[in-house]
Amino acid sequence: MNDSSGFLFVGEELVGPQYLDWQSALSFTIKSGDSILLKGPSGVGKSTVLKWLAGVQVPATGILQKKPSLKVFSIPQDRALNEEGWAWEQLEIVQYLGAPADWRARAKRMAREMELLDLNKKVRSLSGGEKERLAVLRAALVPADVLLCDEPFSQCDARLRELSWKVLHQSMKEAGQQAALVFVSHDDWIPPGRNNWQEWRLSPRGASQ
Amino acid sequence: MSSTNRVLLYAILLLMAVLTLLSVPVLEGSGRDQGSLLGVLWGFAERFFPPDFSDFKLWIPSFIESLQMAWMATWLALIPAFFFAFCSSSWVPRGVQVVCLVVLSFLRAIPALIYALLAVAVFGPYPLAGVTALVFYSIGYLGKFFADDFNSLDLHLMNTYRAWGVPRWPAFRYGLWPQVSQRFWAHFLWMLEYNVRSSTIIGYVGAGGIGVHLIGYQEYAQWDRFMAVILLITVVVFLFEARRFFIRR
Repeated sequence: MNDSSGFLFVGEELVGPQYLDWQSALSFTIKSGDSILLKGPSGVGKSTVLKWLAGVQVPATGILQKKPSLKVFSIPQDRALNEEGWAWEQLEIVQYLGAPADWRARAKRMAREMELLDLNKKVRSLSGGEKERLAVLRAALVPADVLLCDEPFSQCDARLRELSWKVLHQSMKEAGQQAALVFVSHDDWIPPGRNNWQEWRLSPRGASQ
Repeated sequence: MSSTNRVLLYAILLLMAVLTLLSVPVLEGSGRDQGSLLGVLWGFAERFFPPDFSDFKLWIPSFIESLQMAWMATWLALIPAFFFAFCSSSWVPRGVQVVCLVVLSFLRAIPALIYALLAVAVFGPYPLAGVTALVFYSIGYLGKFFADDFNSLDLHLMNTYRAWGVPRWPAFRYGLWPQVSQRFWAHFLWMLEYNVRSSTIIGYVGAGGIGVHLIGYQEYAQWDRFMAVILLITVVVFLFEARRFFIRR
């Protein structure tokens, strides 16, 4: 693994949640600045791959190497929000992840831009789309080397999706360094503004890149 | 539902029916005065009603004493309950779990009134005896609840935060503590309410509080005043229950 790469995975066999056994191997590397679109039918294991990368799950087989200093952040499928807590409280975690000192002011501005109007609510009373944007907003506040997005806009309409993506994209650009993005999506929407997308397609038969 | 589940369900329903049939004998009385049952009940009711509130001024300090006993006992039980709960949760070795579960079961197996009898024998007829009685009982109950809480905590959120690189303490503070505090406060309030009820009755054996009046009225067959105290206890317990009408969520 050379210096520029973040992840290296050499897979032998994948065990997906629905399909017991993938016929062919999945191997990949993720380097800084990469834009990866992870596609495939429901239940094929897209979220599983993201969980490996996020470090919350370990691959059953294969080897996953990660550069030790790599800062990985995610918008996971479950959004990782505390349902009983306040919406604004969910953002406070960013101060432990290297967010700049003025993160509150930035959060306020970004929330306005993505039309997340009222953060003075309990998380459980937010709509699905609001929860998504809250998770996106939190991700926009954290400077990371790799950002993992698991269908981050699945419950937002096209307009809100564009607004939210603009905020996220802008913050990744402002952070300066070339952050890699792994984006799981169901539909054909490709986040605009990034070049050289690689498409990884997972299917019950295996993976192709 | 799978067919094995269905068979199991029917087997359980059948078992419950059999247990019910086998338990019918406990409903049989001595056969005495069956005809005048209503008359006997009416006789009781006549002695209890109308309630006599003329001693009301005497009851207020006793009532406050009861509430103070409940309050102190619930707080004093908190730390030991936490300790036993943690030691009987699935986070510690199995042997320790079993020992602590046995201790908690033992503490719960003895009713508050029996503890009160013992405590009065040790400390004399003072509120301290009542507090002691309630503490033992509360440790048994709170310990069981907290142990269940420990076992059912969802660590997923905290683990996600840890994976992002959030340090241990804030990951706990934001990922686990909200769940912990919510459940623990709910159980703490439950115990407080339970102790308010218990503290009114343990005075019956001399352990302080409003119950001391109950035993007095019983001795002198002043059932109308007895009933008035019962009504007062009901009001307090109801107010406790009705807190959700006053506290906005």
